[in-house]
Amino acid sequence: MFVLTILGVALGVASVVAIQTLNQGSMQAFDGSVRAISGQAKLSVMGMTPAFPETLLVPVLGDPDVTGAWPLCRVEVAVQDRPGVLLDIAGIDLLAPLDLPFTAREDTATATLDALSALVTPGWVAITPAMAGEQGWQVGDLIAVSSGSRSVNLTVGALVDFQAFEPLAPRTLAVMDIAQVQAQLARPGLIHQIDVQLRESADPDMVARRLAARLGPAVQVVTPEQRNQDAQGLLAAFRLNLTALSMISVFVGVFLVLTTVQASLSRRRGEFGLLRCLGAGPRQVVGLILAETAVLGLLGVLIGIPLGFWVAARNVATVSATLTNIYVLAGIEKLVLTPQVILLGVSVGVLGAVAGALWPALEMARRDTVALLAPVNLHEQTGRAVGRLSWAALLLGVAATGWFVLFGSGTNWGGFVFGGMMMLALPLIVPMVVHLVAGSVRPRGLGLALSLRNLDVRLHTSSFAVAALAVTVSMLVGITLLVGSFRTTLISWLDVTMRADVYITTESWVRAGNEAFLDAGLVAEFKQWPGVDAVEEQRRLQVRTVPEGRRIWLNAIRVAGIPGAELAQRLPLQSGRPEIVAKAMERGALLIGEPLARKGGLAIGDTLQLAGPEGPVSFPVAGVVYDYTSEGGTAFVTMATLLRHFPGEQTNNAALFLENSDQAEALVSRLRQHYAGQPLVFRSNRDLRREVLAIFDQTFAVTRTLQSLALLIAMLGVALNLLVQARERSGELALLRSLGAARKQVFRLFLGEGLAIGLLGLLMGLAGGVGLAALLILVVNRTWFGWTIRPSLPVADLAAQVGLVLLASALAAVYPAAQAGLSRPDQLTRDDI
Amino acid sequence: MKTPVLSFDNIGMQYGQAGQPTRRVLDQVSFDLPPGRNVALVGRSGSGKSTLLHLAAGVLVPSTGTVHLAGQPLSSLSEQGRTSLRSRYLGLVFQFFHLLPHLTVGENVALPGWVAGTPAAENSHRSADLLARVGLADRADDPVGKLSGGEMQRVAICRALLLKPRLVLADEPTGSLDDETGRMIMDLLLEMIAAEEGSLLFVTHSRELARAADEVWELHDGKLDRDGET
Repeated sequence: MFVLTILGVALGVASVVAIQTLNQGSMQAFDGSVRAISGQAKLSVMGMTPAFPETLLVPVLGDPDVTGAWPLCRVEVAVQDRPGVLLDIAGIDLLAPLDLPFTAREDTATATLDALSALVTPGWVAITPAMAGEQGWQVGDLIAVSSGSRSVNLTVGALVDFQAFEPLAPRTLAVMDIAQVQAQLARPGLIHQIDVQLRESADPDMVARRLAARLGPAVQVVTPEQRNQDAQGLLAAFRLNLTALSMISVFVGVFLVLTTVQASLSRRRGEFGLLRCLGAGPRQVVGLILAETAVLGLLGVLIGIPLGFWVAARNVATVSATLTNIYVLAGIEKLVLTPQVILLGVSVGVLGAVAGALWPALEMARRDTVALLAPVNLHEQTGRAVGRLSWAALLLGVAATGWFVLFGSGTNWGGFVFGGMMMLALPLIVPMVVHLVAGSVRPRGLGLALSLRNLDVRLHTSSFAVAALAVTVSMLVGITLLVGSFRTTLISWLDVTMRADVYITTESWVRAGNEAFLDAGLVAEFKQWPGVDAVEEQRRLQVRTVPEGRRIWLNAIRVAGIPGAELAQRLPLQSGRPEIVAKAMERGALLIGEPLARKGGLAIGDTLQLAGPEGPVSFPVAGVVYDYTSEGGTAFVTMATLLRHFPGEQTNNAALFLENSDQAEALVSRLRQHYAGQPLVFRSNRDLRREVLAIFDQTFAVTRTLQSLALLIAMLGVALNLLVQARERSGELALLRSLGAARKQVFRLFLGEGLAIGLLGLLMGLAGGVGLAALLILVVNRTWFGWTIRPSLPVADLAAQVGLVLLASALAAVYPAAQAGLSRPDQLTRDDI
Repeated sequence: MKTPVLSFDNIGMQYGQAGQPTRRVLDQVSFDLPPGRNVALVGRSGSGKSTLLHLAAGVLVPSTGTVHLAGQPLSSLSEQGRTSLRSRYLGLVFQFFHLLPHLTVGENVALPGWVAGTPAAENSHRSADLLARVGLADRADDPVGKLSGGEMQRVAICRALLLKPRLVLADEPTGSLDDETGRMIMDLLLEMIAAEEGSLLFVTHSRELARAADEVWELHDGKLDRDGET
């Protein structure tokens, strides 16, 4: 039993450790990159659009507190013929006073960079030793890369060992001369960042304010910490949701501890009675019990922390993919078990275990010595607390609802707090439900009805197993309903918005959207292909709102000749009428996505200010559309409007409308053949939809892991509960055997009890899950992500989960049932029953 | 001649693990218990009475000799086989009643039927009939915790008789009751077994109660003395 408890604690700790390790990892790659490149800078000047003219370097250098400043041009390039391999190139001034850890060859110690040689060598690039080792590259090797539709050959001129001084720096970081980057991979004259060194005595905040005023609205001046905070803000909702889910496992684990401690104390009451006789006070009894449980918790921690790290490692690929695909941040390259996470794991394990033991310990301490020394009456607690707990549940539910309606609904955290309180109330109502359901059945044989009745008899233990399962099923069902509804909503949205037949992008676009352009000549070529009716051009640009500084995606589309393909007709409007919106957009207004409308408090008629290259640009909001492309916020304008305010912007992607949509697959094949060797990616409408849904599913992969861990803990609870019962009911089992019950009958009886726990847990969990799903869909999701999700019923998924829970309950009962089946008739003693 | 309901043929029983001194509890015990006979088993504490009952119930397997129950070689059967025979041919009455507190009176009586898998309606009917015969017809839906000791033992007797067993084994059936209630229960037990045409083998410390049986057998240091016919 203690082994099961330790495992339960371990799984709870593992959930928390896994999620926190991944959460930290999600920021560490970004943080590592910032420190590797800008670690010597006190301030960074960042573009609001995000590229800005390099001429701004001059006024920066002119500040009296600035001792040095160097421009950076950042671009991510795809390595050709190596699918998925990208280099995050930092174009720097190689003559700047930067102390980067260059080595001329892999096998030599740090050496002085021959900057002049680097400057004159076309495509000179320094890559990390880790990347060189992984890809089998050596100094002198040629690497074919692409930025947008441009292909460039780079030469590995040196290694730059960022990880030597910044272990979390991404291995994909690479360094080139800034002029070469601008000319070959990005845009001449434009940079993305200026790193600034200050005099020792300078106040960074003051200098930042001064520089911001001098440089104008096209840039912002930030400290490295502010950059990290900015990235953290992007991931806040994602990280918080995972954290909340991981805490469910801890909550379920607490029930497991409660069951064990209660069973253990029930057997040891004589021991505590003796201690009380010998003069031990109630506090000493409580202290002793809690100390014992804390040791169990610690043992669970010892297993849970490495297990959690292993779980994190198993999920790093999918979380990393979410970071890169959804949030356009660096993926997690290296997981680190930080002291903070270890401390958190220890705290959660020990405090969770102690919390689980607290109530039984207080119960034990409250009893008088005579009662402790009296023979055990298994039924003494049955039903006694049912009424009180039910009232507590009711009060908690009412208080939570009242609080949420009056105060919580207006706050970001309200939904989480309300959900947490309802999840607390759910277990409190469990004993009453078990009592009402199981107590009302009339057994007419050794079947499920008797199994159910047995649960009612031992409410003091069975309730914990049912409660743990109910909470877990609530989470399973709540998440399943959320994900299923979201998926259905997304599919409907894709049906409406994805009208083109063939989609064309570049290999580097997924990471380097801003700088990955399609050559204008190529777009013109696509129009000439037989069967192509029209070509749509798309530009996606990350900009910031003014004055909030919120990062949003500004999308512009140019489409000609396809009725109904204009944005106002294509994007499903949440508010606004298509014909009016279309006209307004022609006049320069924009459409905003629902998340931006919610987070920015914007509606039709409002004005959205965006940071442009020449300063803030005001756009009237013509309508709000349902949008699921980014939780950060999205806006849509016509290409003409974009070019008016953001001149020089080029096309990122193209989409082809065919005369005959049935020819899409064939055309994709021909295009791939024709443009073989070029960094272009062709997808049919069907392929792209499949990929979008694959990314969607991948986003929830880690959620499924958390669900599995919670279910595993709940199953341990079922097993533990039945093991306790097998021990407590040895007399009853011996009687049944005396009356002729075969071992398999006793086995089936216990298996039935496992199923009964599963059924009751399901019953309550389904009710809790529907409530949780409503909260997640209607409150938490809208507050944190800003999406409208239309509720739907993923019947197949739910049916699978119901089957899984019942199967798992039955499986959890197998070992206890086998133990119960071993009981013998001669074990019936006068003290039994 | 009718097949004995219970036969012991040279039964020896000793306890103890291999390599350690053993304790002989029963020695060369042989008897045939014909159908319809009631036997009281008496003897001092530790004389082997309970062991003999356990052997008769197939709960224990003898060290030597063979036990036959209703003509079937009980002691040579597997554990499953012994359990099956016990369910079919035996009724058990315990000193401490051993009723399940979470079941009603009627459900406790019906329990052997649940184990044997007899139809629910048949169980209910038989259970109601037996309870009526012991004067507890109106208590069928009551929890057993509300019953007195005598009432509990009456319920236990009903339970033992539910499946019309060929033999009832009773271990100190009145041991937890006062003398008057004990006598009443003993009379009731004998009366009902007679009505069911069964046999009874019961252990008692009371010579007075033992005299109610057809025969009184006594165990002395593991040996059975069958001379005490009443």
